[in-house]
Amino acid sequence: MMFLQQIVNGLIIGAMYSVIGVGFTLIFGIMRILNFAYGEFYMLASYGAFLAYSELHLPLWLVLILTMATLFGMGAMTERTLIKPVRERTSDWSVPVIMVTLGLQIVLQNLVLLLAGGTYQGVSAYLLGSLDLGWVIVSYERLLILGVSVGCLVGTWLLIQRTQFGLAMLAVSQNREGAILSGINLQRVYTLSFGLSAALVAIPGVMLMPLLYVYPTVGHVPIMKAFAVTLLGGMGNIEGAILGGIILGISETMASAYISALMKDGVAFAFMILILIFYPSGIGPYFQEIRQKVIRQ
Amino acid sequence: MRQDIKVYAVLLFLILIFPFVFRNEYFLHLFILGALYAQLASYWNLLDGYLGLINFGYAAYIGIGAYTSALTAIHLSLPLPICILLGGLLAGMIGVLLIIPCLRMVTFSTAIVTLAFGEIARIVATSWTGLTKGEMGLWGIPPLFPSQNKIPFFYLSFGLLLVGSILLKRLLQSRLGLAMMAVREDETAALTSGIEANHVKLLISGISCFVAGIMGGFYAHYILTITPGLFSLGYTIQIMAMSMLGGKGTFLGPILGAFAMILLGEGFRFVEDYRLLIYGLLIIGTVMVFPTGLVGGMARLKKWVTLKR
Repeated sequence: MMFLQQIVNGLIIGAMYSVIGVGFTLIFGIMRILNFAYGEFYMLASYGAFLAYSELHLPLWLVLILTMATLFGMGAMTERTLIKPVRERTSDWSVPVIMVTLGLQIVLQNLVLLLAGGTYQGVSAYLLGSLDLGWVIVSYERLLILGVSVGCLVGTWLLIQRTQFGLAMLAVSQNREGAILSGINLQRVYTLSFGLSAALVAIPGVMLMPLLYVYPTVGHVPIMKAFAVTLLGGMGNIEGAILGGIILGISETMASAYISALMKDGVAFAFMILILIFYPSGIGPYFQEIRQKVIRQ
Repeated sequence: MRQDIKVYAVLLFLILIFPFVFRNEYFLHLFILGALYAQLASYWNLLDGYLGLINFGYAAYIGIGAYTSALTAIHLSLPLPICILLGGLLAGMIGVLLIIPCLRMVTFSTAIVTLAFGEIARIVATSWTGLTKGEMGLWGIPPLFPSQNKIPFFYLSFGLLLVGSILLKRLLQSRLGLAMMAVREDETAALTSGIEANHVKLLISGISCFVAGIMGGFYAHYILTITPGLFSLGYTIQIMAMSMLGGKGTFLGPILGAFAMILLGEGFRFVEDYRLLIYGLLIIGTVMVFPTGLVGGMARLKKWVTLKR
């Protein structure tokens, strides 16, 4: 009974980790950088949701759309104003850009600390009550989280597979020179995908706010998850990130239920490194191989 | 070469007379920290700047060295240099072991694996309260020198920095140093010219982490209380920022960067709440204005001045 309950809980939180991971891995795939300010985008979205929901009393769907739009703009602006100049100055720009995002992380954290103070803030829950299926109990709020994350993953999938822009992103992540030669505007892809990544992390930022609360350093939580998911799924591999998020979610809830809640993150990370010893490039490519075999048969 | 010796002699002389000119304890403390960080930034740079291996868990090795040394000193009461050496050896060993699974991964995966390791180490140090006393921190660590005076610590820290820098310079000029840079530039090409890239990575990672452990031990027996905060990613980022600010992949850069950052950090103490904000802006500004760091910026300035003449 408890085991099943843990699986379901893990699956739901894992779906949200998948969203966090997809946004992070997207930027890695396209730009070959680790965006350290990613957690701070989450934090800004959380603060935005807190203000809009508890002060302005907007409905949740409107809050979600507004924060996503704002974060999209912020992400695109970050790319334009901070990252573009560095990219244009140096040829091997991966590590310098990572340093810029690190600096941005420190700046945003402290700016928010000055503006909002260091206290934990939050709303109690978006939805009350829970669904009792007999063998497992799920609160409506968690169901909502699951629904939103699945919807968002499907949306991203369609965006990447079915639109011109998505194909351009895929092309850039597979071969940068080839993409330029086929007439893809690299600068535009970079800016838009940075915005998309920030908009994606806005969703967990809004949805997880009642669970994690919001404070200036809350970004530490999602960025650690993003790192773990990205690595587990294979760097830049979107399918892998979805799978990795679910594995991370389940292993984390298992660890906190059966080992120790304090060691939760440590166990999840240790498990991750263990998997990587056997699949050094992540489970994403391995999974795709299996799928192709199945299709061929 | 002649000029180099003169410069070194002047530097040595300045270091020797420094504690007698500035008698302020706090000022000495800052320079001790500066020397400590300079050493750490130099050896972080050995990994990142010369080998192209990013280690985001560097602080964990400092913590491992500090805790090993402190615990052996408290429980086994061994002589302190042996404790510090043990800490360094353990850190170096773990550094090598952790890189083994990373050998098959791409560069950025290594960065995240080391980061994850750092987090695991921090969580273990926090929750293994029986051994480390958890968040309370470990105190009652025997000091390296019995007197309260900071002058012996000052000389020791600069002595360590000097020895470390000379060894580093020798390492960079040796065959191993060349092999290292060959691996950084193009691993496949290095492999085809007969360089065992994996051995180089393991060895350099071991050396770099060994030094982190030694400096951690020195820190523990200097500050006398250590907490799991020592393992945090923040320290790694600080060390990384120092080596970037000074100039990645240069010999002098990290040393300059460390002293600049420690002293600037103190200089900004009067703005209290805005200190970290300015620190972040400084990192962004440096990368945007001087992508090659202080050393590169100075070289450019020198070129500009000579051209004007």
